[in-house]
Amino acid sequence: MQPSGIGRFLGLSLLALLALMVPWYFTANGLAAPAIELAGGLMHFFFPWAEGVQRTGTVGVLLTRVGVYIPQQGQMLLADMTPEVNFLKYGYGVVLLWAMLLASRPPKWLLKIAIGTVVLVPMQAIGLCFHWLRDIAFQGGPKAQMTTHIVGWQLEAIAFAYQFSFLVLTPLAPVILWVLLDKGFLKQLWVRESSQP
Amino acid sequence: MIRFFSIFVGTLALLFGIEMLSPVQQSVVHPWTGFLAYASAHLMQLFDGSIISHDRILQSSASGFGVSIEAGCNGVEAAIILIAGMLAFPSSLKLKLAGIVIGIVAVQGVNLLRIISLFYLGQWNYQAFEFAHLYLWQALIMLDVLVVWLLWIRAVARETPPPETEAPLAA
Repeated sequence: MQPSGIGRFLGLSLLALLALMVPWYFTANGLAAPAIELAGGLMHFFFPWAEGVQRTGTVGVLLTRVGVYIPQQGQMLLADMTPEVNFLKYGYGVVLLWAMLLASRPPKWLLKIAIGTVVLVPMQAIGLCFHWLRDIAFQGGPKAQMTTHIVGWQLEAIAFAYQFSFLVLTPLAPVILWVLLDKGFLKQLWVRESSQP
Repeated sequence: MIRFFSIFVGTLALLFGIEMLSPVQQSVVHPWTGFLAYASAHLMQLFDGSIISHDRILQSSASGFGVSIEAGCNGVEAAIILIAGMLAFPSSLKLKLAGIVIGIVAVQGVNLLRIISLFYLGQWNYQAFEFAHLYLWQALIMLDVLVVWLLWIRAVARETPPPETEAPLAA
């Protein structure tokens, strides 16, 4: 770490973030695939009414057997819910991680970028799952509840988990990963500052 | 390291849970968000007299364009993460309190910049607004939280007697 370690880290992180964010936005299809597939697999594993997932670009559509009434031409028609979510809302953290690792350049930084990118996939998938669950639990109505059996405290838990994953986990996960992948940065900062007269 | 993360995650979940409670939303978060709209409007009026605010809404009386400041854009979650990070890291109570107060001011200062920049970006181009709102500024605010936390750790290290040179998170 250089004498102006934190300032240099901030400056380089900002530069890298701005430089990488636009390319990430336009090439996120490939990054979206594993997260959406994993999220679909998790939903199918835990909920028998979740049949699978369909991906169009960065948008993941959960295919379900959850019935819901929809008004159409004066009639109420029964249809299956297919909530969708855009991966980008839960995927931008990877750019932050890349930017921070590029700025601090720990040993084997390229490998750490690859590891971090993979480790973030389950975090992104959790966000996608709770986004779908929120839509099904709160927009499905009584007919959907008959299939999902999501009631009472489970609704509260889904609301909390959705908010937590969207507002906290998604932006925070890359920062925690960076701390874990570059422990040397914090150690150097501590040792240098605590040994100053 | 394990101790730090245990306290950090526990404090984070607790503070976030408290924030989500309806009485806290009504008595703290909503008024705070309204204050942010008010403060943003006053700052913007220094160079743009057409800006008005009402409750959580920031609006241009000239163009009619307006934005509502919602959860995730009021800096509360960012402040909670910072507080949890400072409470979990071993330091004196005095340094924790000073760090939390100064840190919240720093985070909210950048958040005001976010609100103002997004307001003008939204008037210019909606796609650019969405990009900056949902992805870019989210990452920038978290980077801000991290840098404030690092600066605070630097201050803690300077206050720590020389024999304790082992970094508390190094284990």
